Amino acid sequence: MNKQLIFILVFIIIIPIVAINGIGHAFIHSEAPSPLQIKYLALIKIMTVYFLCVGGFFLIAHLRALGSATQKVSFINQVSHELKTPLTNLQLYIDLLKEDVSGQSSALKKVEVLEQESARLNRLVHNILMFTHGERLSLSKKEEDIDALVTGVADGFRPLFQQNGTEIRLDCNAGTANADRAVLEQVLVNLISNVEKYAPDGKFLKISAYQDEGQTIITVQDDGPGVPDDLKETIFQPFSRGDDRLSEGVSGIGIGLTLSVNLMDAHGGTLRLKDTNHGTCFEVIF
Amino acid sequence: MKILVAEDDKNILSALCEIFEHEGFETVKAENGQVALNLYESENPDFICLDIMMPKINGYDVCRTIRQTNGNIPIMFLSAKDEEIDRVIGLELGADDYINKPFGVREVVARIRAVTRRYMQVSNASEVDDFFVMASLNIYPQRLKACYEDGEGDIELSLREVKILQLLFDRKNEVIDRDTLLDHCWGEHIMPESRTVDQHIANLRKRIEKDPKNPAIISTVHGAGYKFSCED
Repeated sequence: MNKQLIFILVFIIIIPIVAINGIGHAFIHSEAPSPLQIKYLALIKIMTVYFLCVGGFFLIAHLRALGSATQKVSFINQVSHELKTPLTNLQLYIDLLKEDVSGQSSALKKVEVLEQESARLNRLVHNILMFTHGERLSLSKKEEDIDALVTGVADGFRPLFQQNGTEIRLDCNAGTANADRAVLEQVLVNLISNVEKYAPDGKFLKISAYQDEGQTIITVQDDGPGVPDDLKETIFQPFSRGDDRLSEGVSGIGIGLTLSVNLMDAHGGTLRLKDTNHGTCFEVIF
Repeated sequence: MKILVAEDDKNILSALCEIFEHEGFETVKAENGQVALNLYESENPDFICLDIMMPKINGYDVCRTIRQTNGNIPIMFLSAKDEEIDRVIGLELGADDYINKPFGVREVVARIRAVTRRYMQVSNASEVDDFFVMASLNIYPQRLKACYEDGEGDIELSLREVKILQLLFDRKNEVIDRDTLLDHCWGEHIMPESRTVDQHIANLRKRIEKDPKNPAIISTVHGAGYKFSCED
């Protein structure tokens, strides 16, 4: 039984009823109750019924909320299964196909496009599921090699950026830090895929990792058009993809940055848009 | 080694079996938990790969039932449920590893090799340090690993790659034709394409030979097969 249910039962139903009936009991057993005492007794009975109704209402509302939460978890689990099964098939068969066509450069290029699109779909589904899970995030922090983590995530994007002619510049000197690997990877993936979406014509993407006054800082800077001033306030809000200047023809549903901010918040860090004269620069601090 | 793969999605099941067979395992397919338990009894597998959300009996219950009578067989869960609690339940039920969907071939191969390596080291503890040498490459069959005598390289091998190297070593200076390699290392009931052996040897050379263009371990005898030449 959870704390909320115990609170409702004890403080809204049991204690008031016991207290009121205790007083009523004293009245009933007093010798020759006056008309006023009889009126009080009637009032006490009304109050008992009132507390029973209020308590019952809260109890039913709570049970409904509990049922709804259970349904939500069950729904998310089912949706998760339904989305991840085709994604697993895509990923496995693309890998197997890639092996079959190795040496056939024309076919290999086509399979690589499938691979990139499958990875994009995977990121999108992962974000949606994380966003829907919301408060159910649990962290697993340990000493992580931040430089290797950043390099690994960036390497995953190299084929995509090579196609666009964007150079990935890495400057990693952060060493190790206490961090949740999955959280940092997802935040970086979201930031880097935003560069691919919003700054596709940029010449470079620079990712730096360093320590400063006991904090680990990772910056992701692109060479694109930058975020317009009027959008800087709302860029981290859910489903905020800016106006047509930014989002026309760009894939995505506008939850990547919101999710990333929430993830960094849960991680005990921050994600912010850094002032810069050129392009866009996001700073992850923890 | 025989692996029982239980997965309700036929395409994932088929892909996994192809990957495991490529690694050198014999595979047994189950499309639900009930079939998995029946096949576990009748086929006596060495390794089990279990999906969690399956019809009839779920993966957790299959694992629980098997663990009541067999505490040693390696079990690996495959699941779309990626909450920490799901992993904890799986591992507490006695699973050796847990892979989240979606996954790719490389992840499955790495995990399967790691679990196989642990299993082989535990079940053949006395032979874990046994090795044979092919042109200064030490091959540790129980560890599914190889490294050069000068300490260079730490090469991970699949079960099939160990079988290939063991056969060539056992019959050193003999030419082993492709059919013999297929029968010995793939199994007589499996009918891969003839170029499968050549692809496998080419990939293996890239990883174990210092100079794959002038191989010192596996040499090609044109029109006949492959050979490991050794003077002693």
